[in-house]
Amino acid sequence: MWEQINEMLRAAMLRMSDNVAGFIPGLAGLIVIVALAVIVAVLVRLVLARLLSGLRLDQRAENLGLGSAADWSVVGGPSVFIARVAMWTIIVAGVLVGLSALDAALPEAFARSIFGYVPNILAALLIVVVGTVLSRFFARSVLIGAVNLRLEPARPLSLGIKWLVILLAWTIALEHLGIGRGILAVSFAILLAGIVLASALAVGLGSTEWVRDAVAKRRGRTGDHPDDLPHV
Amino acid sequence: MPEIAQDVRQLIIGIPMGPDADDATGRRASALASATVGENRTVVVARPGGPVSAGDGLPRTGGGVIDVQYTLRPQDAQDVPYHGVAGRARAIHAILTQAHAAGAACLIVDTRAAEPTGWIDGFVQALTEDQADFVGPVYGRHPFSSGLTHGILAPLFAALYGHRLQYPVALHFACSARLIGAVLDDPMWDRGAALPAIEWGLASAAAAASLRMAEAPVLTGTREDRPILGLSTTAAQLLGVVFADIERQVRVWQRVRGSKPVLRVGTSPEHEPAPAVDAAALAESFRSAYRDLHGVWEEVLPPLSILQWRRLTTVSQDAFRVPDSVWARTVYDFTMGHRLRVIPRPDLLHSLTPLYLAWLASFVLETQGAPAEAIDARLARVRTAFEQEKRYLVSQWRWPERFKPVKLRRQR
Repeated sequence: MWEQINEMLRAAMLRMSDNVAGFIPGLAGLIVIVALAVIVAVLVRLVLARLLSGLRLDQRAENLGLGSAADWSVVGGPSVFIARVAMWTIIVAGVLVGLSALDAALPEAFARSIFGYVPNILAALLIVVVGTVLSRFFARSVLIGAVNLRLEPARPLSLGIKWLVILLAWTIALEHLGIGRGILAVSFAILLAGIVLASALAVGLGSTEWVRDAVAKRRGRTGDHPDDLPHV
Repeated sequence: MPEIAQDVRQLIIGIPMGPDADDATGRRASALASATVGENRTVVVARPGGPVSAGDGLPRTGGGVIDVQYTLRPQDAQDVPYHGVAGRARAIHAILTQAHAAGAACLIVDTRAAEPTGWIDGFVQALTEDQADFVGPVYGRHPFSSGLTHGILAPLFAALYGHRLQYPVALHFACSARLIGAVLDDPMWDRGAALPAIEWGLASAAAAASLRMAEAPVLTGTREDRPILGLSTTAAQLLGVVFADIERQVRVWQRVRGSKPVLRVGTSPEHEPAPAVDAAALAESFRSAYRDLHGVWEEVLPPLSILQWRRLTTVSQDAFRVPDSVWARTVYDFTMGHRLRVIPRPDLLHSLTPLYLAWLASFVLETQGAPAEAIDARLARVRTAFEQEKRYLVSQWRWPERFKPVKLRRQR
């Protein structure tokens, strides 16, 4: 009986050592591929950053109305952002290719499914970044406009616009990723309708006097408002 | 500059008309035409699109009156300028083209604001006897009601180009045939930023070419030419014109030091009565704006300026004063911010309005009830501050790395 047990253990050890021997080249391949991907990614990032900087992409983006340097400061500017996205795309692609080198069914299937999902992730990432940049752009414009119109709630208005745009961007991004599709859209619609209803109620019920005063001031102002002077 | 064949006796009086010109404007143009035609003077009326329609009170071609057409682009109708005459710059270009063809000088008149009385002779004298190339107007406007002109535009023009024009942005001005020949093909006519106040570009071109400048009084009736847009939009348009011109003429203004008075023809009209200005309300609006906009200003202004503006939010009304040097540096910092696009340009231009209101409040508090001479002396000190602080602008322009607003310092 002991001989049978010994035989089984030996066979198990042999199988395991065979498996390990078969796995090590794949692992080595994974490490080499990932290392190469990291090197290529860093190089691509450096070259892209320099190339886009040379092409004055940041300034061109601003000219196209895609936000100023301050708006892009979260991600370090359009050229830095593109270079970073390119670097991480190559690294993630390298890891996934490396996983398939392991020659195992599960990692390969995982890699395939992730590869199929990458375009969605990239698109969602782009939507979130552009949404964030635009939210800051709109928030600043609304703030300055409201202050110049002497609207009391200038900052809340600006913050409201900012978060509305951010929320919209995240909703679209998550929709793109296929996460909670129907629920997200309905939630956003309910939230937006709620904001509009709450604002209407606040103005209609709670701030009647404030609105009346503001309208009366505009109609009956006599020389004490800056817009009553020609200035030129 | 090439010599232009010119007949100094020939004068074209140009009336730029927008698509919305009303009957009253048309009647005034007719009156001006009948009062001035002859004696080497020709009236040119520029209108958009097709020929002048019958029955609108405007003179027909002939009898010393010429109708010219200009093409109103869709963009012109969208971007309504502060004075309300859409396509005014294109109308002026069409008139100047006529004047150039005749080798004549040209006086641009806004018939909404000025009665066609004897004041035209002052411009004629400046152009013919004094051989001036650019003649600006002198109005009797009280500085309280023309703060943008007296607090920013005039001192800035004097500091940049060395000529103390009182109204570098105005609806009445005259150009010699020589100046017309020099500017007619200038790219500024195609630059949207320059169009709301094309006369600033003409004046700066005259200064750049070392041409003679003069001023003549204009007698205006009611101010129907007052900005039809709000203060913020008006200020943004005019500062947009000025900042764009500063970028265009960089080689010229960097060489200019100090300023000198321009030749004055005739006697200056007296100041109109001071309008009612609630300085306390203006100061309060600045304090309120500071709470919301200091974050935006920190993207443009250096720490010292921010500190000085912040101090104004805590002082009493009696002590509410904007030092001239702070005001001049603030305008120069906005010039640099515009050049380097630290924030989108429209936001930058609009965000200066509350600071201008603070300056106006300070100016009104300081000069309320003062005689006209004292107010003029105070404005001269503002101009001197712009001239003295110009080295700050020149330094930052040459070495943009020296431009360090608060937020930029934090990021570094």
